Amino acid sequence: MDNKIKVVTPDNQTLEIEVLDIFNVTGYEGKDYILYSLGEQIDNEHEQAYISILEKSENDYNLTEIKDAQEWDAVQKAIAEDIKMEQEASNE
Amino acid sequence: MNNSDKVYQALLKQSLDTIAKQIQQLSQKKKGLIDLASKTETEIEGLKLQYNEIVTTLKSYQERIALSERKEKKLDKLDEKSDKIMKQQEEHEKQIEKLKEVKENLQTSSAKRKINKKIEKQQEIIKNLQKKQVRIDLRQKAIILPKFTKKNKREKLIAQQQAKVNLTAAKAQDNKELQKMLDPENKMTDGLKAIVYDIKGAFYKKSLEHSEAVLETMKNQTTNIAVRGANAITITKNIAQFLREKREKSQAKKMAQEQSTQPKVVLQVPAVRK
Repeated sequence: MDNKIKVVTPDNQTLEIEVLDIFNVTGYEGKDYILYSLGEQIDNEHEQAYISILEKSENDYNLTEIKDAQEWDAVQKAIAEDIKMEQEASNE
Repeated sequence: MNNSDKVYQALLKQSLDTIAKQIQQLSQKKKGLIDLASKTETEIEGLKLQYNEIVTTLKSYQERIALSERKEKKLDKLDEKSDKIMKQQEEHEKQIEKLKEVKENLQTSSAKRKINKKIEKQQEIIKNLQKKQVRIDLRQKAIILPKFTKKNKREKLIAQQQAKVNLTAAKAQDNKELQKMLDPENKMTDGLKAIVYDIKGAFYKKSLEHSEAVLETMKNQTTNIAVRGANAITITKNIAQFLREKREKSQAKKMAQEQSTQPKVVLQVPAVRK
């Protein structure tokens, strides 16, 4: 079982990322967002993660930056709510 | 100083001594009298106290006598009433006997019914007289044994009060139960909770399935997945761990489901003859 996928950066570097979640945001239906980690530790309690818009074209996927501040705000709220809901659901 | 002067001086001294003695005697007498007067005053005070005590005792005796007389009068009156009631009762009983005799000699049922009614009336009167008698007995008892009556009355009141308290407590409990039953919030909460849980569960399942499907497609992607940009976010290790475990569980579940749907191959081994 593996949540790891390989991606290519703009400078043609191949990176392995660990997919933590793929989710949707209310108000931005039709878009998928991907939460992933590159295995970077910040301190003993926190780690660095990234969120990108998961754009699917006909044959491939692109991970793009969230540029709109309002959208970024909504995404952060959504991921927090999503985690909370998932934790509740797993506790029931 | 000549002789006559000396004599005169001696005389004066003598008379002075006598006067001094007399003064002393009188002073002693005066002191004695003062002591006597003081003692007499103390005695008078004592006697006064005794007098007051006797007056109080006497008053109390008089009051008791008066009370006793009043009680006796009351008891006498009650006795009279009781006697009167008993006589009345006897008279009514006699009347009943007479009516019964008359009834025996009657032939018609209507006349008998009339007599029966009269007998019933007399019996009713006797009943009322008996009730009166009971009340008189109680009053007599209260006069003769006031402490006993007071105690009984107090116990009765306490019991009544206790009954009231019990009743109120029971009513309060009933109200609580009723309130619980009628409480719309209480009633609705369970139903709503179930609905909310169902919706949450369905949403959670759907989003997880979608997420799995997208991930699966990405894994099987033959072309490159390009990263053009990303937004950094800090998450706690607990959350990261939770997300990892969730995905692992989901994948394990999926694998188990896939295995259970695959047809089982059973190898048939031929029996070996020895």
